[in-house]
Amino acid sequence: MSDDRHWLEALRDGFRPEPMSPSRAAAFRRALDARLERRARARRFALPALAGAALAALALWLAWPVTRATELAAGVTSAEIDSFVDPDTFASELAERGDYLPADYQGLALLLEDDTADR
Amino acid sequence: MEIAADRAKADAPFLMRAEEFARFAEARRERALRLAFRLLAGDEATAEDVVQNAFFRAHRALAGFRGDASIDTWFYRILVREVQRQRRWQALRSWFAVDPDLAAAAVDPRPVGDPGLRARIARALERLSAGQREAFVLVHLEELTIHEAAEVLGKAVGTVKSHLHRALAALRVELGDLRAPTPFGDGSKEGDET
Repeated sequence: MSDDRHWLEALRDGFRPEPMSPSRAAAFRRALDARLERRARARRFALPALAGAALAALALWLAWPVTRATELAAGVTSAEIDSFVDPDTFASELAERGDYLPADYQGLALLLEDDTADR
Repeated sequence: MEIAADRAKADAPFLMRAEEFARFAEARRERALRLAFRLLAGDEATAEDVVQNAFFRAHRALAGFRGDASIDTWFYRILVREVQRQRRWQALRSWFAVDPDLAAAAVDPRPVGDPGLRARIARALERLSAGQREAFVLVHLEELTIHEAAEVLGKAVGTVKSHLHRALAALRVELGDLRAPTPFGDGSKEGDET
């Protein structure tokens, strides 16, 4: 056991790096500080830039569909909306305008109407 | 044990400040460098890079430090992982290297103590498996307890003991001549790897 202890001590003493000289230690510190500072700077700029880009994208996304919806809403009257809701109203309105049947069918309809009138 | 006597877990939030982190790094630099040097089999320049990367990663990960382990165990775990990453990278580079001697020329030539002894120990450590080397360096060269080493390595205590046993057996053969001769024989015993 004690023999192993001496042997291990010999290994520990024989296998260690040279202690850093003050200049090497300072260079090490400077290099580490520079890396940390670069990272901090990148975070300082990258985070606001990312947040700004995300906000701009969100604003664009919100603004675009709202404009189109407003335009559509402005062009539709409440009567038209009601006619879509009530199919009978919609059909009678078309019937009044006489354009709910194609031309051929309108011709047939006229013949039938004449026929019933003759009877 | 140095590692157990270090700063409390509660200190971690304060380390977010730059000057506190600088103090944290300053206090651990020499030991971290020695550990990396030993795990990298004597490559001092690479050890410096690895320690710097480990401090950088520690700074990045500090916000996520939950205080489950001591801050030193946490940091040395980062360091050991950084060493493992470096060794994988070196292995990859040597795999593709045109001149294998160039890729393997890792041991720093700066004479500290006995360069021959240093080179011998480095070679002997290189012949161990990664697990054996890590366990041996942490417990016998860095003087962590087996439990601390297991925590740093993220392995079971039994696994670390097994690695230690094998590492000691191999190194006794490789470096047995470094034992001081005693009047009672070579004095080696089984099971004293704690």
